[in-house]
Amino acid sequence: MEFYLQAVVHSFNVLTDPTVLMLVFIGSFFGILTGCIPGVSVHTAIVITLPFTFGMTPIQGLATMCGVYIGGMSGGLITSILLGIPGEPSAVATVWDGFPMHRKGEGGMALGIGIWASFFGGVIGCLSLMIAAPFFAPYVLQFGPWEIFSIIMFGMTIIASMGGKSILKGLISGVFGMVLGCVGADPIFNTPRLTFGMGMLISGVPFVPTMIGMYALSQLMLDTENTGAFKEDKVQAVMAPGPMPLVKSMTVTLSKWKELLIASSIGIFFGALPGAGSAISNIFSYDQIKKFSKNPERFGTGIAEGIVASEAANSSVAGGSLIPTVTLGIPGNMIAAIMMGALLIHGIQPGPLFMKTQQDLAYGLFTTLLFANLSVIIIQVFFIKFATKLLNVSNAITIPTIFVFCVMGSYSVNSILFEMYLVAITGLIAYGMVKGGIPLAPLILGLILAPIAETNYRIAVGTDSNLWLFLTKPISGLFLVCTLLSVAWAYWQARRQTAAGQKK
Amino acid sequence: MKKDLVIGLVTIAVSAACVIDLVTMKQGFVMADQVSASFFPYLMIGLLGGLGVLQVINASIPILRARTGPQSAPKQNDWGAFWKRYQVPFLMFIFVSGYIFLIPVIGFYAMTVVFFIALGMLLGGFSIKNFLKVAGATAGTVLFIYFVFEVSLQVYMPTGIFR
Repeated sequence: MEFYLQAVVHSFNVLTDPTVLMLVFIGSFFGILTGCIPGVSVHTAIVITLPFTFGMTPIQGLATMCGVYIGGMSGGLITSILLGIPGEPSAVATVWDGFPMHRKGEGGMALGIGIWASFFGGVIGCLSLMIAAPFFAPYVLQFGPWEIFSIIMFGMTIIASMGGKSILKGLISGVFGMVLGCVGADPIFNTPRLTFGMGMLISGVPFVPTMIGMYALSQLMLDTENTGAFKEDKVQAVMAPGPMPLVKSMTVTLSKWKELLIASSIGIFFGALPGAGSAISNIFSYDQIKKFSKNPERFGTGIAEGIVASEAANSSVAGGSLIPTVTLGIPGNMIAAIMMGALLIHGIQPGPLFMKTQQDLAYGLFTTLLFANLSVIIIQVFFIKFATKLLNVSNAITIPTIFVFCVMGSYSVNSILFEMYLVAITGLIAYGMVKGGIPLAPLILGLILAPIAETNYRIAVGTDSNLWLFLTKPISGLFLVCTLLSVAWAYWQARRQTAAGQKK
Repeated sequence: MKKDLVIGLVTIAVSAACVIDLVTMKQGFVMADQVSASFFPYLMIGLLGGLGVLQVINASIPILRARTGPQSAPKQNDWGAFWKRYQVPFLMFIFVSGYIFLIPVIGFYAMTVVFFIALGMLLGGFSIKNFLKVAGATAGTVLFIYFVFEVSLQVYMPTGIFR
């Protein structure tokens, strides 16, 4: 109970800080703006925002990123409904009913339902975070270095096994990320390792340029395949969505309360599960709600239930994904990983001690996430007409703009030219990895988690050199067994799929 | 399949390069009950190398099976389709690399104008309409960066020859 009273006090502090509120609002606006531009993902938007947050206090930086995150997720539904192109993997299922509804001339209604479902899903996700994180925190505090190391190993394997088609490639990506995370001075003796004689690498592989190269440069290169050079960029014409009945769409959304609750619960579950996230949750939720519907044949024809199922699920992921981030220090998805990276740069370590030592920041994060959902709905109401115009912006303007901000952002953090060059190098590596079918998420996670895993491993072995303790301590042993099981399960799944493919 | 083989070989090569760096690194004094600075990297590199070997084996089996099985007609490489698919990402990467590596020489703002217009033309064509749109966006972006970063946040970008 004490936790929840403190939550109210800390939340009140955040809500009375006009700078924080303004930054959430600006972040949400930027998020919606980027979400509306086809080809610009919420990852790219967060990565572009990252360098801007370093000059801010940690809570201001988190507030801005929360705004971009929620705004970007919400903005993605506009392209899905009006163009029939999912701007994000998280909005794939939104297209299935949103676009047909728009083609029936009810685009405004579809947008309204999507926005409200997104809002309610987001709020339910935040509330789950606010309840779950303080509840789990005291238990997690009892974890020692053995348990933390084993949990990190479990998180790494589950992300590697769920990230792509091949478990082996996922593991290669994750372990390569761990190797990159070992570059630079070691966390205990400060001995430089794996620097290949480059002084620039003594402080480790810089996080921001690596993220920018991997998620912005490589993504834009992938998006422009098959477009043809020096040719007129044809922008798809957008049919006007018609008026958005705000109250009516809210009533329709709330009348689907069962779907809303089921979808939000699915989103929270997938968010909290490391590696799964919104890309899976929206499709799974749509599928489950369709299966349990009395009229499954109506799904895909442009019905409100379909939009609610997808949007509530993908928005509630945000709250769910932050549960393992703040309690265990293991990000639930890529965006949580980027936010964790931003905290690490500020010298703050999310994990078991976070809820105890950084209470103001933890509750501030929860409150700003909740406020971001509210600000998104306010912006969407006034912004929707302008947003439809943004869909017509040509690649010839958006792509160079993003590149310039990425290059400038990578330089502005430390004013080091090497970090700018690293954008090109990591971008090329990431492009090659994606073309080779290697997922990027395990690499980024490995990069962030390697120093934490190494420190805990060395503390554990320094305390007691008996390596069996990793297996004999109950929680640590349980997670190591789960690690092996997750690899075995992913391997079995892959074998089954291959066998099914050969039969066909 | 060849792609998978290359991935395995590159993984092994990366592991080998890392091992060479670790072997030559200078270790500090380590007490008997302490773990040395190179232990964890060795563990990870060993794991990476092992995964690389597994990847090579995994990729080699189908290749060997295809060789021993009935011979099919050799595939013709369609370089035209390949170039059509990858020309924009390739040119874009050249432009971005040129932009990044020339910023210290020419200066951030001058290079931004050149890069923005060049990339805008690559993606939108040579029409006057596109040029005007791109030029307007260039001016807006450069002015935004100048006022927000240099004037308000005092983040100074490289000036190059325009020092």
